[in-house]
Amino acid sequence: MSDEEQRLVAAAQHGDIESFNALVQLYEGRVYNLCYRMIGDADGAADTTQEAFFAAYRHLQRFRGGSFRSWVLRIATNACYDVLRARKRRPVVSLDAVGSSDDESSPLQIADSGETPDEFAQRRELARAIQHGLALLPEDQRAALILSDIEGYSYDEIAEVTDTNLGTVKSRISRGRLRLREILRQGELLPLRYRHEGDGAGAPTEGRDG
Amino acid sequence: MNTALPQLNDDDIELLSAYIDNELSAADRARLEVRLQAEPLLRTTLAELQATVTALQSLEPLRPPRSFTLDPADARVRSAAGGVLVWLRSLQLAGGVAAIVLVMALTLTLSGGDMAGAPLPAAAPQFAEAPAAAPAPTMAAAAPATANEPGMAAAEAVPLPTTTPAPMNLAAAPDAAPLPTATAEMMMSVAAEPTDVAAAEAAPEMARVQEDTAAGAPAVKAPSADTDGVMPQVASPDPLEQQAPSVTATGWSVRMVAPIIALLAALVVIAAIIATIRQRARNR
Repeated sequence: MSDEEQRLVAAAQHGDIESFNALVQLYEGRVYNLCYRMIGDADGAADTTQEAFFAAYRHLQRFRGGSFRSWVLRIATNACYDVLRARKRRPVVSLDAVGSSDDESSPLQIADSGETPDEFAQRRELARAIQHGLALLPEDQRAALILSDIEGYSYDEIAEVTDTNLGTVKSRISRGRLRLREILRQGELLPLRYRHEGDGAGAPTEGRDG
Repeated sequence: MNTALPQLNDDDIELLSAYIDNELSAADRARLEVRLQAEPLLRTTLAELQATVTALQSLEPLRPPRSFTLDPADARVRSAAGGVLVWLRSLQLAGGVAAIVLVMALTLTLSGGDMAGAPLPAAAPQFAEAPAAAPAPTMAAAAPATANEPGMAAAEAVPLPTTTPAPMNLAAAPDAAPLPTATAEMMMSVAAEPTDVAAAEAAPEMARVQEDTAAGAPAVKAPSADTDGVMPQVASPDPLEQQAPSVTATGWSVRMVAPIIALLAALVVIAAIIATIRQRARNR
């Protein structure tokens, strides 16, 4: 944790909301991305993100050093679990809707200039398939996979965020990868094909390139 | 010609996964690389896991639809609620500590004050009646006081069983001057604890302590029967009836039993505090 961050945390703990908001601005991107991948829709992700920051503010006195980022991400992960649990009891949005092409529920992706419309469409298709696949994973595997492979955190930090040990993190990540691979396969969207699409194998090739 | 398993087991999948993340020790890594040469299934699985990782990594970061900074007005409202909770919790903890101190003070007073005989005549009838009458109104008063906490109204009813030690304290209290205040404080603290302690968690602990208390009860009565020279062998079905008329006997039993009761009460309070702390830790 940087000195500046430490100063902000200390000030926020003394009730300075501007300092807390500076921390929010530092981490809202990460928190929102985590929530979106966990929850699967933009509105739910935004609500959960807001809820997580409120919870962080309320419980700020309980933060006693260490990584503020991990602490906030842990609160966000728990907020996601809460939302998912509540939805399981009273389903509001079906998880299947996540995989469908309702563009209004997908947030804008950061545009990658120099991309053909075709490539863009493919990338979106893959993103949708992955999001759909993530929604089918057990929640702890989903969280571990998002944190490791999408957000790029270390095993150590994932263990801290998910409040578990390294062994469990490793096992959740490997199981999650295996499950997701199977799901994507069944969905006829092989990651392998995606990997080869740069060689012009974007169109269905009926497995002749293997 | 190769004898690879039709499907890899979890350990191998985990090895491959850690290999992708560069999380294997040098030795494990070398061993796995040798196996990769020899086992095609291991190789294809590695390729597919790697492809899955690549696909996940290809996801673009999403831009948050809005800012999530807290509106100071809104935050103040929320933090005020949080503040009350924090305040209530510390009050609760303080209450628990105060109760322990009180109990210790009472114990000292009772065991130290051998002249306990003087106030006892007055205390004896109180001893018989207090547990039945006094705690109930106190409880009734204490419950609404704590019921202010949002969402806790229903839980407020639960404290009733936990008050068992409190009437016992009445037994210990008679010759202590600050009886009414002391008891009220005790009741408050006992009543306050369950506001935070999940009833489900508190209940077994309380039940256990209550069992202890119940087990202790015969011991409480025994000395009074023994020291009651009038009818030493008669096991009266109603111990209160037996204690009330005999002033000296009550004095003896109170003095001997007070530390035990105080200890039990302290145990109840400690159990409740531990449950509170555990609950709080889980909320983190």
